Amino acid sequence: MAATVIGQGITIEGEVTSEDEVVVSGVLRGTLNVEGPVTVESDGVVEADIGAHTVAIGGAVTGNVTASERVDLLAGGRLVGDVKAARLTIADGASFKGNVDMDV
Amino acid sequence: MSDSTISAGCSIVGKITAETDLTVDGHVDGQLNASGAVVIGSGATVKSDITAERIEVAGAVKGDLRGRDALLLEDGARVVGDVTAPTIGIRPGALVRGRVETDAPSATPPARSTTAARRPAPREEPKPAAKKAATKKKAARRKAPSPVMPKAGRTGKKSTTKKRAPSKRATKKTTRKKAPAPVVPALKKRTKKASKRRSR
Repeated sequence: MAATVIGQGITIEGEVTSEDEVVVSGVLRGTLNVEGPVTVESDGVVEADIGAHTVAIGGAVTGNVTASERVDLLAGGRLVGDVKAARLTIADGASFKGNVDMDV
Repeated sequence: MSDSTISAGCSIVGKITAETDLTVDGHVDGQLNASGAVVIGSGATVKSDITAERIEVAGAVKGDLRGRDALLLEDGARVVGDVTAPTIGIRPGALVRGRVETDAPSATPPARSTTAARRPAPREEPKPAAKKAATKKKAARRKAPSPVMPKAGRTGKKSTTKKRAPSKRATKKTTRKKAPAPVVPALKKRTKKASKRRSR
């Protein structure tokens, strides 16, 4: 099934739940719960707690991130918030402020 | 960049503001304002007012629709709410329950604001242009029956049962919709009769 794309120019304030992949290039404020992967593109701004299978952050995220599989903080990505995931990678050039809990 | 899509299986509760086009195949509950085109896919369930430059509906919507430019209800669309736009198209097979108004484009300045600000506009100032549009619409409707009611095409396979099925399904999907289900088929029947009479 096709992924949900919150493109540039889209602002969502509220609660987003999805059974499939979600790609954020726009702005999302609220909560984001996904059973698949979440990708925050370089233009994406997320001010929300994120719960997902995997999370890849190339944009700006403010909020706690919980992943059942892994969290990848990509180069250029910014994350302010706590991370709870079995695996976490932080790329060179990413910025991160928060606690990490890998004890899932 | 990428077209924005809210896919099936995705549910959004809250407010969506779009400066670009947006396609909805999932569920939206809240408010939807777009300065581009909004397409509500056939599997979508939307419980919100929608304001956009152009709106195309093939799914279920409960809420008022306002198109600044145009509004098109495709076959299979199920709309419960008022429908307003300078040009409105309703394809055969679309269900509407609510007020339909083709107003002048100039009557739409506060289009992006809240419902409270938006709603009074068409009711308080029925401009002459709006009347013209209405008469135009009537004329269009009078012409319409022949293509709109090609019974052979629609009823050829399974007649009425087939037609009613989707509305029942819609009721299940959009939870608290007990009222529309019995009423909509009734409405349809009436329009059918009326159009028959007219065509004679």
